[in-house]
Amino acid sequence: MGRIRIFYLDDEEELLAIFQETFESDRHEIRTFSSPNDLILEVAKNPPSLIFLDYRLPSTTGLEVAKLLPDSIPKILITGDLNISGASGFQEILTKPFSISEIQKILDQL
Amino acid sequence: MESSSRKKILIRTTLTGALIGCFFPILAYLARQNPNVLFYIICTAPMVLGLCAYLVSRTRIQAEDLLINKRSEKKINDQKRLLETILNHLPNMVFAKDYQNGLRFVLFNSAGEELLGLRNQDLIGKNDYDFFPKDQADFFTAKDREVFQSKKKVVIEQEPINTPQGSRVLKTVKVPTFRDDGTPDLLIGISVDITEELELQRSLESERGRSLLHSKLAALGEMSAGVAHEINNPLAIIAGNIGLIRRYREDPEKLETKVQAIEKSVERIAKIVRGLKKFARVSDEPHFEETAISELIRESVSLTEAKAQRHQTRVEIASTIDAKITCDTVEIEQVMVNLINNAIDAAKSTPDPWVKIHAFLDSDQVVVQVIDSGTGVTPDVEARLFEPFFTTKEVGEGTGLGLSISKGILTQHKATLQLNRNMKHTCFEIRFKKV
Ligand SMILES: Nc1ncnc2c1ncn2[C@@H]1O[C@H](COP(=O)(O)OP(=O)(O)O)[C@@H](O)[C@H]1O
Ligand SMILES: [Mg+2]
Repeated sequence: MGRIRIFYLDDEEELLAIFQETFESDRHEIRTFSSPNDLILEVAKNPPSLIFLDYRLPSTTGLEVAKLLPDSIPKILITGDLNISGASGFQEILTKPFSISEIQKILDQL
Repeated sequence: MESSSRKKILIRTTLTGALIGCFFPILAYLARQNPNVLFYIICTAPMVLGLCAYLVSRTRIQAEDLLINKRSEKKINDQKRLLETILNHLPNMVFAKDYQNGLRFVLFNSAGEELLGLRNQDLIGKNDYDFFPKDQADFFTAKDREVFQSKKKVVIEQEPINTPQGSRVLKTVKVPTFRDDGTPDLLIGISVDITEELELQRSLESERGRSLLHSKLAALGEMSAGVAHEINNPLAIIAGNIGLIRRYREDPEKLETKVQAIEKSVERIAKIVRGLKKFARVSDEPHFEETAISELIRESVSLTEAKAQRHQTRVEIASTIDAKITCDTVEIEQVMVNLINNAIDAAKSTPDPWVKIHAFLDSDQVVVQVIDSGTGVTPDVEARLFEPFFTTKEVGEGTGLGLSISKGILTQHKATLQLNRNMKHTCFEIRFKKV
C-alpha cells in the first residue's frame, strides 16, 4: 500500500497498456481508463494524485472531462492535435508522442 | 426608267389616235367627191376598225406589262432591301467572293467592315492579297479553293486574323455557289468572332484548375486536423514500445510482441500518408484507367474514417458490386470523399448518425448512392446545391466547392450527379457508364 495513484484516460487501448507497463512501479500505481464515465466514478471513490487526460476522445474532449473532475487534483493534458484552444487549469500540456523520460520525471517529483 | 417607258406608251397612244383621227376627214372628203367611195369605206371599215382595235389592245398590253414589271421590280427591290438590312445588322461578318474573278470581293457587310476596319468601297473588287500578309492570304485562298473542290460547305473552326483591334480568332463557314452550267460562281463566307469566347473558355479552364486546388486544400485542411492526431497516436505507441524494448532486452518473447506492435503502428502511419499522397497531385491532366468500383469506394471510406470517428458516425458500405468504370481514380475518390464528408456533416447532429453507401447496376450504368441519416435538403438549398461557393456551413467549415467541383469532375467523366428525391433519406446519386 501507500503507492501514489495515477490515472490515465485515453481511447487508444494500446497506449494505455504501454503507459501502465512503462510507469507502474513500487512507487506508482497506474490505473487506466478508456471511458470518461469510468474515470469520473473512480475519481469520486478513490481520488488519485495526478490524472493524465487525452484531448481527443470519441464523443468528447479531455477539456470537457477535466471540468467534471475536482479542481484539487492536478491534471495533465496529452494531445496529438496540432493546436488546441481553451485549455486551462492543467498543470502541463504534453504532446504525443510523449517522451517517456519527461513523464517519468513528472512522476518522480510526486 | 419606269416613268419614261410610261411616257413612251402615252406618246405612242396619242400618235396612234391622231393617225386614226386623220383618216376620217380624208374619208369624208373622198365620199363627197365620189359616192362610190362610200362603198369602199363600208368595205374597208372592218379592216380599219380591226387595225384600231389591234393598236388599242397592244397599247393596253404594253401598259399591263409595265405594271407587272413595275411590281416585280418592286418585289426585287423589297427583297434587296430586306437582305441588305439583315446583312448589315448581323453581328457576324458576311462576304462573297467571285470565283471567276480572282476571288475578289463582291459583297461585304457592315459587321465585316467594322471587324476589318475597312470600308465596303475599299474592299469590293479587291482580294485577300490586298489586305493580309501573304501567308494569311495564302491560307484563306487555299481554303476557298478547297470549298469549290469539295462542293460542300467548309467550317474553319479557328481562323486567326489581323485586324486594327489586334489579332482576333474567327470561326468561319464557307459555302460555294454554282451557276446553272455547274461552273463555280460565288463563295459565301460567314464568320463569327470567337476571340472572347475562347478567352472565357480558357479562363474557365484555369478557374476550374484553381477551384480544384481550393477544394483539395479545403479537404486537406479538414483532414489535417484529424490526421495529426491519427499519426501522433501510433507514434506514441512506437515511442512507448521502444522504451519497453530497452527494458526487455533480455526477454526475447516480450521483445517480439513489442516489435510487432511497432510494425503495426508503422503500417498505420504509412496508410495515412498514402491517403495524403493523393492530395499532392493538383493540376495534372486527368489520368483515366479502369478501376473496380468497390475498391474505389473502400479507399474513399478509409479516407473519411478520421472524420467519421470524430463525429461518432457509422459509415457503412451497405452493398457493392463487382464492376469496373473508366475514371481518374484520384478525382473520383475526391468526389466520393466530398459526398461522404457532406453526409457525415448532415448526419452528425442526429441521434444515431449513419452514412450508407450502395453500389449497384442499372442496365449499363454503375450507380453509387451516398445516403445519410440527416434531416434532408430543403427545396431552396436544393436549387443552389451545385453552385460554387454555396454553403450553409460555418465559415471555416464549408467552402461550398465540394458539390460544384464534384459535378465538374463527373461531367468530364460523362457521369451524372443528382440528389435522388425518391428515397426516404437524403441520397446523392452518381451514375457512371459501365466498362
Ligand atoms: N448530404 C447532405 N444533406 C444535406 N445538405 C447537404 C448535403 N450535401 C450537401 N448539402 C448542402 O449543400 C451545400 C453545398 O455543399 P458543398 O458544395 O459540398 O459545400 P460545403 O460542404 O463546403 O458546404 C452544403 O453547405 C449543404 O447545405
Ligand atoms: Mg462539402
